[in-house]
Amino acid sequence: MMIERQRAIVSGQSVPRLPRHVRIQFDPVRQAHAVLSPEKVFWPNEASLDILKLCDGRRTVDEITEDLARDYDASPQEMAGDVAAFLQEWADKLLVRL
Amino acid sequence: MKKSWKKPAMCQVAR
Repeated sequence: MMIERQRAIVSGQSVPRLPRHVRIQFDPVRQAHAVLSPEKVFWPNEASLDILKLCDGRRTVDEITEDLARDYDASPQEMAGDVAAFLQEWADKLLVRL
Repeated sequence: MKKSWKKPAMCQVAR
């Protein structure tokens, strides 16, 4: 039996959030945050960790990009493509819900 | 001091 799933596409108005089975945990051994899902462990770089922390189910992708631009040396316009591509990739892997 | 923007990436590992 095939289960058809419609692919969610990221837009500036998407409101991403982490599903219940995905969480961010600080690993004291490595002094770094890990993203844990039931079958996989990921080590995010600083930018991706900051994006995931803002995926709270309330902010839109545009708002996340604006928030990030306050902390980084790039404008929202410069970051928007990277942020959207990152969220699309992880939404496709079911680690982010849109 | 603003952080340097690098393309977001996560590498998969495998408590």
